[in-house]
Amino acid sequence: MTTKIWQVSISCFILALALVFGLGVSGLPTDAGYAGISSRFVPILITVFLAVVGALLLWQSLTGGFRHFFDDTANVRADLRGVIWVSAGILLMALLISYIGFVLSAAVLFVCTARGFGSRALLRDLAIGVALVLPVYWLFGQVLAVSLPKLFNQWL
Amino acid sequence: MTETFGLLLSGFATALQPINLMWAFIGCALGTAIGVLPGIGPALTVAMLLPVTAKIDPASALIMFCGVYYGAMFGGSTTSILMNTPGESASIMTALEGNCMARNGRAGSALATAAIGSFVAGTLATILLTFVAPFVADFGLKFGPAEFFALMVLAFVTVSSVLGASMLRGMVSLALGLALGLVGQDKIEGVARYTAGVPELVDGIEFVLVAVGLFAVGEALYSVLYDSKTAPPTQNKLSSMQMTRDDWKRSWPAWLRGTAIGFPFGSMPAGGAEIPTFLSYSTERKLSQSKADFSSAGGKGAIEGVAGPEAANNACATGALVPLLTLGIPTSATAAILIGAFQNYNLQPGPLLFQTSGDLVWGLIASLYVGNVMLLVLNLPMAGIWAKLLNLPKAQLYAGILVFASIGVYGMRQSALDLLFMYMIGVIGVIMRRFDFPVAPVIIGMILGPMSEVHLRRALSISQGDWSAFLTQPIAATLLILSALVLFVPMFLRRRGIRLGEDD
Amino acid sequence: MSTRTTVTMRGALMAGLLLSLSTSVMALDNVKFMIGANPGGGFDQTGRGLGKAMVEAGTAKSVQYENKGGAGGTIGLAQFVNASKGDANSMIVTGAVMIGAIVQNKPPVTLANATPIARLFYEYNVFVVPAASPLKSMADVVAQLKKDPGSVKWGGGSRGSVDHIAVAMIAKESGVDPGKINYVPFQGGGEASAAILGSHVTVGTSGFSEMQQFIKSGKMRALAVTSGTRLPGESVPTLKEQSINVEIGNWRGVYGAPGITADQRKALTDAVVAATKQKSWTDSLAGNDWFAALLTGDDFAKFVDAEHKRIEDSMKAVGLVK
Repeated sequence: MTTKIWQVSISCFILALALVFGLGVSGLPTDAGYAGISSRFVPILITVFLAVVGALLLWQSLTGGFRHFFDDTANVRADLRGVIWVSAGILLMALLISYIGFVLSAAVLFVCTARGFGSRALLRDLAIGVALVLPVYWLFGQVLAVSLPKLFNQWL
Repeated sequence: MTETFGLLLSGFATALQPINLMWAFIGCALGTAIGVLPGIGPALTVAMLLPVTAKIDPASALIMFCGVYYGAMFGGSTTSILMNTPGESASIMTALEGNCMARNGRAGSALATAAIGSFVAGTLATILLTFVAPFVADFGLKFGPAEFFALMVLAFVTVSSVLGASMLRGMVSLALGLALGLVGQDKIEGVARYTAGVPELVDGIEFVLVAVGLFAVGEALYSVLYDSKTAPPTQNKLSSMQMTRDDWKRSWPAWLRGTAIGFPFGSMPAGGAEIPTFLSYSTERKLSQSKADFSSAGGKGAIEGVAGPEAANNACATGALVPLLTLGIPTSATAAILIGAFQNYNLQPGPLLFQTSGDLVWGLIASLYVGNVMLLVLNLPMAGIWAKLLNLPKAQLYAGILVFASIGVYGMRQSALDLLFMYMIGVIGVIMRRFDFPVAPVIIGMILGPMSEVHLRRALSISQGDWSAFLTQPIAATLLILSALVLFVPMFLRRRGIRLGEDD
Repeated sequence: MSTRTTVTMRGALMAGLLLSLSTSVMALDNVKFMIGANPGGGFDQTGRGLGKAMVEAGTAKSVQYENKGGAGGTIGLAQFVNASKGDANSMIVTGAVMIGAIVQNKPPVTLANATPIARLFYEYNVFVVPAASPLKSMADVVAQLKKDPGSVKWGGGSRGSVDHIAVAMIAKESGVDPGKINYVPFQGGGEASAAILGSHVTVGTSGFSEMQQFIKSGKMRALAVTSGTRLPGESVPTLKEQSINVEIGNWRGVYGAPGITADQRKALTDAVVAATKQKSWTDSLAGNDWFAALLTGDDFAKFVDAEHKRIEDSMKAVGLVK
């Protein structure tokens, strides 16, 4: 996708957001009490603000692109495989934390992220990940008395 | 005055007992360790430690709690500088310049100015607390909703200092933050706004979640996408560990100004540490001789942008003890829990406390001096070691950052759903980075928006809908005039062809 | 295998011994408390105080707490109801605040989904004015309210809180439209007390223990308490004494998990009742100006229904609920 399509899409996203917030206003009460302004007042202001900046942004993106913008990534090849690894790490942690416990799921995140950045030493990364999380786990459990999900015994 | 000295000396006699020194040390160390985790702040830590009040005597417990409070502030700035992961809202400004410095090989200087600045500000603020607390507290009470709203206006007009290369894109970020801040229960009327019927959204979107998502996750994803094969963030391997003469020269005034901004803010009966850090940052940006160094101007990180906000943050934390000890009014979540600690000993902080338990209060005040020294001794030598972390291979460094960010977010309320939100916000953060939208205004908008609305509506409720109330009350009017000056004077001068500095 | 048998047998012996010693209550295993608020607040103090007393009373072997703050405790309630079905050792802390949140936000999961165990205590409100205020009694406040309702700015906790409902009830009793009160909500007692001390509001209200020190030191003048009779050891008159027929308090109690049997419910209730006799519990009541008001079984269930209706009516009167 070219930069221009991106820029137009971003501007349209902001305008769409303004639309969503504007439509949401109608569901809010109009009772203004003694203050003279109701729960709608600030949302309306912010909606207008969003709409104005969104419109200006759209105008810029259609007339030669964002101003004061130097595209420093134009000649860099995006590493999509790396992003997939890192994303998978976070999503796996979210998915697995209730099943394999806090320590292991955080270690999975560590391994996946390191892999995304090109590290191949799987076992070493796993060991570092566990070593990094254990003290935090201890801190939560012992000092903060927050019980975190575990796999089978109190250490995993 | 001499009486105060005598009382303070007896306070030191309490604070310097080996057992209390030990508790202060435990508190500082624990606080620093916990401050490193985003989302887990001093309030939660002190709350969880409350049960120790059953086992140790009041002076020791309160000394330890204050150590946690101070230490957590410190830990937050360390992660902001090294990992671009602000642990709490008050260290967002630190992340802006501090992390920029760290990437340019000056992590050591940034950490040092944060540590020394916190010490200087903490100590000066404690001196103020010792001698002028009652007067400051009474003045703070003059601030009602109208005055607070005027303060918010001042914060808004200084926000331009963080907008970055393009005013418009900065405004888009700010608008996005303001819109996010709308989600949740309206604090005046109590109606749920933009929650789409999701109960988790009734209390609003947790801004630590957004901060961690935009800063840490966005950063990691952006980095893997565009420069995973390049060198680690420290481009300059010879990272300087110490502050240069120039660093000192630029830090000193910033520390003092930060203290002057932070302490009064902390002493006000509503507030939080965010606004003084914003104001301090803007002040430094406006006054700096080397504006081109600031990250938003594409520079290599300006040391005064770390020194000022860090000092403001710590002075504010100490300032919060003024209304707590003299009036019994908590101005922060941590202060509210400290009141709980006092109550566990059947002590009620407030006007009577100095009379009923003078030894305890003076012991506590003396321990603040001790705690400040202790944190400096703990953290200054650590700065060099921390800075070396940045020499780790990029893979493990970013993996570590993400692990810390995730466990902090998860630990906040043990919700796996929050991790998904964090990831989605991180993706937005990548797009914002890619197209050069600054991320700090999002957080500022999220914090300032709801606060301004609450104060505005309270003030108008009190004046029964009369907007002139903001101009007839002297403090509010002064603040609004000041805001107008900040906004219009540079415009006017520019039109006349006079420039106050670089074009921004 | 043999070791396990021994342990079980020893456990049985111990249980038998305990049974013979204390005929009333058997110790529950690990008791879990769900606290629908962040650490440090009133819900948290209640849960942790009760848990500690249960261990001391020997009615629980150990206790665990889970804080899940948000939306007046209803987020914690939803999780509690979903996760602890049939768990005879789980409890959730509840109170007037949670009822208010249920009425206001209409969450899918309400207290009707859980099992009532006991009401524990009441906390009463006090109405105060800054020391320099010309208002000397509630009669003065009501007179001004009747003349110009907007000029009396009431400062207190969030809308729909006990503070707000108390003000609405006072207005109604004095013949003023509760929809016409000028109520300014603050977050937390600290903000409200600062606004009162700084004379930014006309009259303020909050829990008695929060205001007590300001009254004692003479920085605020107490006009009335919301209890039925004067609080022990205090000279502040009640609203009723000043011919305003309002009595309202912020109560707290505990509920058990859904789907537990009648026997399990009784065991849990007995364990809680035994804990309320402990010194640590009565001490924490006294320290917080909480007034013991134990109510169990179906009486408690009826009480909660009545509270629900009362709070709903008041919220309708002030226009919070349609």
